[in-house]
This record gives sequence, C-alpha cells and structure tokens, in this order.
Amino acid sequence: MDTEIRQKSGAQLLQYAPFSSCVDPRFWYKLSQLKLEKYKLSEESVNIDGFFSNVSTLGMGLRVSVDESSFERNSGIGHNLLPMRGTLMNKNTLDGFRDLDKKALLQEVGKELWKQIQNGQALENPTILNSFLLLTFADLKKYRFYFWFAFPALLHPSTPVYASSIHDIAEEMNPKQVASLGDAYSNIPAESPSKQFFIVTLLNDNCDIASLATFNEKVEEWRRNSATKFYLGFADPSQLEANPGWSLRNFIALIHHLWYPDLGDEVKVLCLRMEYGKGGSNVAKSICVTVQLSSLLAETPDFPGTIGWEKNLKGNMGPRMADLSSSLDPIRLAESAV
Amino acid sequence: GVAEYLTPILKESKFRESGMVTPDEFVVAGDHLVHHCPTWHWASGDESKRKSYLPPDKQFLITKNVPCYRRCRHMEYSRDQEQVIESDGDPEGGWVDTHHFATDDAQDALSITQQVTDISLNSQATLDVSNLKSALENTEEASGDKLDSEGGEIVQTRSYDLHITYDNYYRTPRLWLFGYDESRKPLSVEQMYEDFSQDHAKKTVTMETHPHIPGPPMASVHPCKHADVMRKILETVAMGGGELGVHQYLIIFLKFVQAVIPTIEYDYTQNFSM
Repeated sequence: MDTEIRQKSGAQLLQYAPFSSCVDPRFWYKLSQLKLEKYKLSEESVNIDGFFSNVSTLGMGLRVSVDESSFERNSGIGHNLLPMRGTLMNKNTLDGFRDLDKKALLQEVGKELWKQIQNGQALENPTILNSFLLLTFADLKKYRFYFWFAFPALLHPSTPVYASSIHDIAEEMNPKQVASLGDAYSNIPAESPSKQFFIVTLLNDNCDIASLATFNEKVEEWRRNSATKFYLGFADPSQLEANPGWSLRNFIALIHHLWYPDLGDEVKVLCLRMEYGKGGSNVAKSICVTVQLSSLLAETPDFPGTIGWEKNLKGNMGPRMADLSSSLDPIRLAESAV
Repeated sequence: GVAEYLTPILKESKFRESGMVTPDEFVVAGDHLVHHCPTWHWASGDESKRKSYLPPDKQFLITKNVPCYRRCRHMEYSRDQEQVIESDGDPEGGWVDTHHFATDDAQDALSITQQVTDISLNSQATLDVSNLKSALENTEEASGDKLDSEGGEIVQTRSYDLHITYDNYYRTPRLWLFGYDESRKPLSVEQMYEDFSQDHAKKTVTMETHPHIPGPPMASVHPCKHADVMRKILETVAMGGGELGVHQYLIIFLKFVQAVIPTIEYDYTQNFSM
C-alpha cells in the first residue's frame, strides 16, 4: 500500500476552530430541580439539547449553549440557532466526577459515531456529526456546579489533512450564485439535518441544496452535465478566514471513509456562514476549502481515536466550575432582597 | 407580581392614545419583529409559568449571543448632550436620551423619532478585524490521541441574551438582559452595570424574577416609562403626517431602549417609512 503522503505544493494544513461551551445559569437551576425531583440518585445519562449558530458574529467564538430549555426535546428554537444533541452525565459525587475515565468515555462515543458513519446512518441524520458530552457534578449544598464539555471528533484520517486552497466564496461563485445559495439555504428549516450538512449543486446561476442521502444521484447528475459544479457543505460556526469550524473534522472523516476515491482526488467543501443585514440574510461570508483527499491514508481503522474535551479558562485540559451561591442560595438571596 | 396577576387583561386597543398594547398586539408586533429581524425568536418558557392570554408557543421573545464589544462607561459621554425627555412632575424617573442636544420635550421626542428613522443607517456593526489575533497557532495536530485538540485563541467579547416579555401591569413590552464575559462566564450584576448607561444603571434597570423562567433574578429595564415614550413618538410621527402601525411597536421599542444599553448590538435592522 502506498502510504506516502502526496501533497501539492502550496497546500495548507487544515486546522479547525474548536467549539466552546456557554452555560446559562438557569441550566444549573433546572438541573438542581430535576436532580431533586426526578433523577435523585440515578447517574444515568440524559439526552439534552444544546444549540449553536453559523451566523457570523465576531468575538462570539464557536459557541454551543445550553439553558433551561435544553432538557425539553423540541422546545422550539430560533431560525438562526441549530440544535446539537448532547449527553448529560451527572455524577453524584466529586470523586465520581474526577475518577471517571474520560478518555475511555470519549472513545465509546467515537466508536458509536464511527459505526453510524460506516453503516451509512450518518447520511440520513448527519447532525450526529455535531454532538457534545457534558459531565457534571452538582454540589447542591454549596450551589457549585463542576462541569466539563467534550465535542467528540474522530481522528480519521490519522494523518494531517491538507487543503490545496482556502478562499472566499466570492472567488468561487458570482454574486447571483451566492444569492441563490443563500435563498436555498434559508428555505431549509433549522431542525432539518440538511441545515447542518448537505450537498450543493450549481448549474448556471441556480444553487440547489440536497440531503447527504442523495449523494449517489447528485454525483451522477454532476458527472452527466459538465456544466454542473458539485460541493459538499456544512453550517460553519467559525468566523476565521482560514479555519473552518470543528464540525468539518467529522465531516471529512465521513467524506473520506464513504466517498473516497469515488469523489476524485479533491473535494470542494463550502463552509456556510450566515450573516444578517439590511434586506435579510446572506451567505457572503462563507468560505470554500478544497480538501486534498488523495493525500490521506486510505486505511480503515476498526475505529479511530476520538478527541474533544474542552480546555478550561486557563487553557488546560480540565473542568470548569460555576459558583451560583450568590444567585441561588435562598439565604443569600433573602439578604440581598432586604 | 400580584398586581400584575390582578390587573385585567387589556382587550381593546389603546395603542394610539396610551402607547400601551394588548397581548394580541404584542403577538402581532412580535411576529413582525421575528420576521424582519430573524435573530429574534419566540419562546414558550416554563410550562408552570405560562400566561393564558398569550399563545403557548409565543410567550416571550429571545435573542441570544448578542455581542457587546465595548463597555458603556468607556464611551464618550457628555452631560451637556443629554436631556430628560419626559419629566412631568417626575424629574427622577424621566426617560433620559443621552446623545442629543435637544432643548425641550417635543424636540426630544422628535430626536428619538429621527433615531427611529435612522435605524437602518447605523445598525451595521463595524468592527476592527485587525485586532482579532490571528487564531490557531500552527501546531501539528490531527494525529495521536493527545487531548489538546488545537492551539491558539480567538479574541472573545462579552455577550448578552435579551428577552422581551409582555408586562400585564404596565401593558407594554419589557426587556430583560443576561450577560456573559469573554470566557462565557455569567456576568455579575455589577459587571452588567458597566454596559448600562450610567443614568439608567441603578434606577431604570432592576433585578427581578423573570415571569416565564424559574431561577435567579434577572436584570430588566423597568417598563414604567415605556407607554409614555411610545405615546410621544406616536404623537410626533402623527404631527409629521405619518402613522406607525402597532406591528412596528417592538422595533421602535428596541430602538428607544438602546439609550439604556447603547453598546449591546442587538438586531433592530428593519427599515420603515413614516
């Protein structure tokens, strides 16, 4: 097997902007309530919903938020917010929180994701490529909440990924085509899996967005008509010029595993970034990344390693703590109300 | 509170005479806001706190992750420029318009009207991209199972979540705010005061229990002056031969509460003619 990494000259190492977590204090309030009334001593995992956005707002980072509505499925979120499935693991003791084998936990999650990529289920519901784990310990006596988020990313391919080009969408499409892409994108409901990962075909000035499950027919269409352009796309929460968001990592794992070498040596990925301005939304801030698939190792691991624990405020691998004693403690609240 | 609970629901429109809105009108104005400024959306809140006079899925409005790049107290500020708009027998609690030279009440209301007209002109946040540190150092990653997944930092900013509820006592919308610091840690009340105009920080902004979400108190712009200000704007527009529809209420509302939180860059981008 040829394992040599073939790399075009001028290629850039693809680096991803990571997600960062943002917890509304009302999330902790609701968790305390559920812990006392419903979960009690159970440490079973609970499905929760976070949300993120691919609306470009500088300085917001790639924020994944949870709040009190995260415990209710389908609680209805805004047009510009995208749901992200999360798993909450609340431990009863600080020891339980500390001693949990975090690396092994992440590997378990990665294994499941890899299975769904291999059996094609990820094509039906690609939103599973974006997910998070939330490990918590709620010290209800002191109103302190210890927490650690992970945004699992598969280490596949195991070699670094290069892009032969990273450029603005304006270099890729004319303004009419960009507008058509924006229209097609805003017509997709926020809950649809195709809002997060999708296929874009471009013929003349018309952009069409389709679900990943239609890959075979879309590729055939593209091959039949040489005037058609073909892209894979995803909702990109990053605002950086040369760094797509974390979601692209698992997307490339999927693309490479399922569609290489069918797709050819390279694939163009549209990193779709929304912006609101006068006269509605547009996607003019999007970028296009030409990913070199041929330079990647073609191996298929049983399951690839998984990374993704979030760094804490000091930039270290470690949990964070929210101290809500001043806002939740009834005694202190009573004092401040005087 | 109890007063709100006991106040009968406003059924007939008193929008023009009073600047107040009915719950139905609040919903109409909310739908209009969501349609034109899609960063806003309706929320249903906690089931136990649902108000029967509002549709279950349209209890209040939310916009999240609104950037706040500068502290209000750093802004250029001159006492000569400000006027109390509305001070009939209540010099303490009048609405303060902080950035205008106007001289009398009518003039002040007019200047707000002009601000409202200018909505579409100054709404685009302009940013200095050059001071964003070039992110993500060039570290080799991708391989190995090291936990550290990427290098570098993105310069972050403060942000706010904003809610608009219907206040059944004052019969106007009410604005709620909740802030996060650059590392996404909730802001303390004192920190949030840095983002409120100094004249409003301690008297117009109060900490109260959110009507739809259980939990700790949240900062809110007190609605006692809202109806009066709205009525003045309507009168001024009417004197100019224009007419504002009740569906535009929240867009105008958001524009005038901007005097309280001038550096929080929420969306009120709609263009309309008067």
